[in-house]
Parts: sequence; structure tokens; C-alpha cells
Amino acid sequence: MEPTLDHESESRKLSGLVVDSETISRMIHTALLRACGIAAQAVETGTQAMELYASGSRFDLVVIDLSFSNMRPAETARKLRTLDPGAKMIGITADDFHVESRAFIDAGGSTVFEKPMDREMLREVMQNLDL
Amino acid sequence: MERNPLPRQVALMRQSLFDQGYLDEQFVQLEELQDNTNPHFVEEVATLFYRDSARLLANIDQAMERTPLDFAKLDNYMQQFKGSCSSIGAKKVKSECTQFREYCRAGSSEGCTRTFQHMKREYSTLKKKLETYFQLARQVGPSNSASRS
Repeated sequence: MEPTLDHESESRKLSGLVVDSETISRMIHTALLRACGIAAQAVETGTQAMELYASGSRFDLVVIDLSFSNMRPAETARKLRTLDPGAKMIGITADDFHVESRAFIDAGGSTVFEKPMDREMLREVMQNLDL
Repeated sequence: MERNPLPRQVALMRQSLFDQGYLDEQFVQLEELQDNTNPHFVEEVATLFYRDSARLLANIDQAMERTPLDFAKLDNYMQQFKGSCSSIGAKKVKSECTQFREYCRAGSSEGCTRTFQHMKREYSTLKKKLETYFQLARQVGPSNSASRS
């Protein structure tokens, strides 16, 4: 049997995590990641994200909503980075959260996008992050 | 294949929602996320939007009863609401949200009250139109609702 290129991409599917307390946004961004070939999970809070990481989960891409109710996104980013130094994280914001955007990037976030993201933006990000 | 006016009706209705400015490009993005594994994605998102936002609007309603108005609180609520509107591409509703927030920043009770009424009207109008649209679209079948014809 001839080997095909498909085997290569099947063996290593990208994984993603969406951290967003807003139901609709969480749903949309999860579907968006999946549409771009990423096996995506979603949680509502930074605390829940940390629980996943504490249990050993790792993700190629983490999408974090910057409007927060409990754990500050910059704090989430810092903690994820500690557990996974190579963590690739992008922030999404419904509004001009300048203060939080800066803190997030300083904590290791790659970039911040305005919500909702679209396919083009995600593809660009994936390219820029070598995903 | 027999000619059936229903798909055309659905397509026309869909187009009019864009032409009349009720929906923007984000709605198309949602349609593109719909597929065989997720055949009713758009309708699910819209249903969730109306369910979640009903709660938020009730909070805003209550906050609008107070005198004087707590503009900071109202702005905060409206920011959340605007975010949801952006998610489904609710263009007119979203623009009323923006207007409302400007009145909050200007500290205008009258402006906020007026705009809030406009916003609720647009919100209800869109809800009815979407309900009709989804009902029709379901009759045609999940794969037919997208733009590409």
C-alpha cells in the first residue's frame, strides 16, 4: 500500500482551548477552532483552565477572553506559561480593554483580537505562531 | 427536479436581512461554521443569544428604573450586551448599544432612556425575523440555508 500525506496530518492534530465565560462567544470560538482543524475544548474560567493543566492537559493554542469574572487573564497567562513555557496564547476582547491587553501580552500572550474572531484572523494567527 | 418556491423564499428572506441592515458579516461567519456535524449551529447560537440576553436586558431594565441612573453600571451591562450582539451579527441592535454607551458617557438620562427603547424595538424585530427565517430554513433542510446559490 502506498503511504499518503494524510497519515502525516492525522498523527498530530492540533489541540486548542477556549477560555471564555460568555456562552455564545465560547461556542463560536470553539466552533471556529474546530473549523480550522483544531481539536478544541472550552472552559468558562481561568481557574478551570488551570485545573485542566494541573491534570496534565496541554494545548497547542489557548484562546483567552480578556473580560474576566474571577481569575485575571494576565494571571491565567502567567500560570499557564509556568506549567507550559511554550504555551501559545491569544487574547480576545469585546471592547478596548487596553489595560488588560497590555498586562496579558506582558504575561506571555502573543496578541489580542477583537471579538468575535473570524476564520481569516485565526488562520493568520496560526501561521504567525507556526501552528 | 420540481420547482419549489420555498428555497427561493428562504434565500430572499436571508438576503433582505442583510440588505435592510439587520445582520452583518458575522452572521455569514456563523453560517460558514455550520456543517453536517453541526447542521443547526446558526439557529442554536441565535437561540442562545436570545435566551442569555433576556436576562441581561432584564437587569438593564431594572437599572433603568433607578434615579439617578448609575451610568457606570449601565455602561458595563451594555458592553456585555454589545459583545453578544457582535457575536451573532445583530447589526442594528449593536448600533443602538453603541449609541446607548455614548449617552452613558455623556451622562444623559434622556438619551439613555430613548436609546434603550429603540434598542428593545430592534431587538424584538430581529427576534421575530430570525424566528421566521429559521422556521422556513428548517423546512427547506439544513444544507440549503447557506449563501452559495
